[in-house]
Amino acid sequence: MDRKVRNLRVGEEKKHLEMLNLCFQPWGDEEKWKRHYEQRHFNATENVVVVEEDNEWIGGGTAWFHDVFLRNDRKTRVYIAGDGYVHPNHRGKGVYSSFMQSLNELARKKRASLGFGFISIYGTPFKALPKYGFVDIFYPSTHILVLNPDKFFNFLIAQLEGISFSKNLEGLKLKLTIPFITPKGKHEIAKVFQVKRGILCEVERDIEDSNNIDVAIKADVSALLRILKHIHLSKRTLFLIVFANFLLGRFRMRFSIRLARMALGCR
Amino acid sequence: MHYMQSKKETSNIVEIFREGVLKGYAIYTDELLHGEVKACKVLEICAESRDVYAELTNLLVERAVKEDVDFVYTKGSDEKFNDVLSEKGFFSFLESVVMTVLLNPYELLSSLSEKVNQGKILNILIEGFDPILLRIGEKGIMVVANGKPDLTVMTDSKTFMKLLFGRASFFKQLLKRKIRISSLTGLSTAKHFFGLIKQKNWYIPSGDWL
Repeated sequence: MDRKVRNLRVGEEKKHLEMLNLCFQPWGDEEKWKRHYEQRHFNATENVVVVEEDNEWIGGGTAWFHDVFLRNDRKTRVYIAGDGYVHPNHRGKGVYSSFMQSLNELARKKRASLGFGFISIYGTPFKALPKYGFVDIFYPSTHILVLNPDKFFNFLIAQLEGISFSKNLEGLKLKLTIPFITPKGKHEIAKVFQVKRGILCEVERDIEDSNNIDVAIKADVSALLRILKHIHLSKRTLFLIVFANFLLGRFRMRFSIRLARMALGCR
Repeated sequence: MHYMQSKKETSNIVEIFREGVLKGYAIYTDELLHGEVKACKVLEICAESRDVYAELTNLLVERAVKEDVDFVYTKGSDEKFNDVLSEKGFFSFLESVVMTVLLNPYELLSSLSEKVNQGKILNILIEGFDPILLRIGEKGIMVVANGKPDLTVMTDSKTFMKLLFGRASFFKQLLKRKIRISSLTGLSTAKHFFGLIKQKNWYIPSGDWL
């Protein structure tokens, strides 16, 4: 197999956007692309690298260069690594490594003294970047104000898409309650879900019928966000996060004996 | 950087002026998530005081309510006024990290370099990079082309970065043997050097998050 790393060519901008959307599912629209890639002092054909294998476009990444101020008001050039992507069919084959090495090399050539990555602690780059010399330096908080609890609730549930439940849990009924603080005051949303064909589906009725519920969860929105993010990581990490939030009083759970039977596979 | 617009009228910006003087501004963008959830991403809030910060937050929330936005969010690296956000009902959680890599220590130390007439000559050896000679003064460092080093400090790039950003203790790294010094008499100079280059306060506008 012949793998090479090259720069983005003029006329390939649309294909680049398509690749980003394919790999991030979704990344964004043309307007977002323009905001990121059509800036002053930024040349996509110099700063975007493309990884090809047997002439097939399989990944890439981008370097944004900036001058930053140091403590003595002097400037130094840095680069921000971003929009690194790998085609779904080529993951785990070292494509990430190919473009990260190229981006660092490009930055060295352009005399950048430091490189930065702004990433999620739940994503692959957090584990991968230390291999290329990156160290974590700070963890800024994300602050969210919910204005429409109903829609935000649905947005949280949408994060569970793609998660399949085992056959043992077929028919399980889950009641999820989330209290929100909005500018209009406190607001609590409760919805019931059922596992159908391995997927969690919302149940319209049954909300008052507590006898039917196998698991009732009441969680702070921040705790739930942490848990949802950890669902995609290891089970051990997920358990630790749930347990920690339980101890902090941010996550409460009540379950029926039927659930224990379901989990053990004896109905 | 992602919000630069040539016309102010078409930019998503709110400003606070007092007696004709700009006291603060906030830049935001609206996003449509999952095709139906409207989010207002605050790219930057720059305020002179806590009051101005609170007023800007109010303006952003008022606008978001008027525009039927479902949630407002921001990533803050300037945590000075974060209590204002929690007072307004924002909840916080950790999901982001800033990571950094050392690419060119000579360029970096040259940027930090200033005129130093007197001081010991330190030779710093960072694994994977060429050695750099520095004169360590009382208040600054200067990269020098030649000279007989009084001491040599050896370290790896990750330890160097942690010390640069104040994320590690010099003595702990020394005990872990992540820093090695040619002679113990140079210990205070080595510690002083890392103190001089330490970047205590960093501010990254959330608009630069990619």
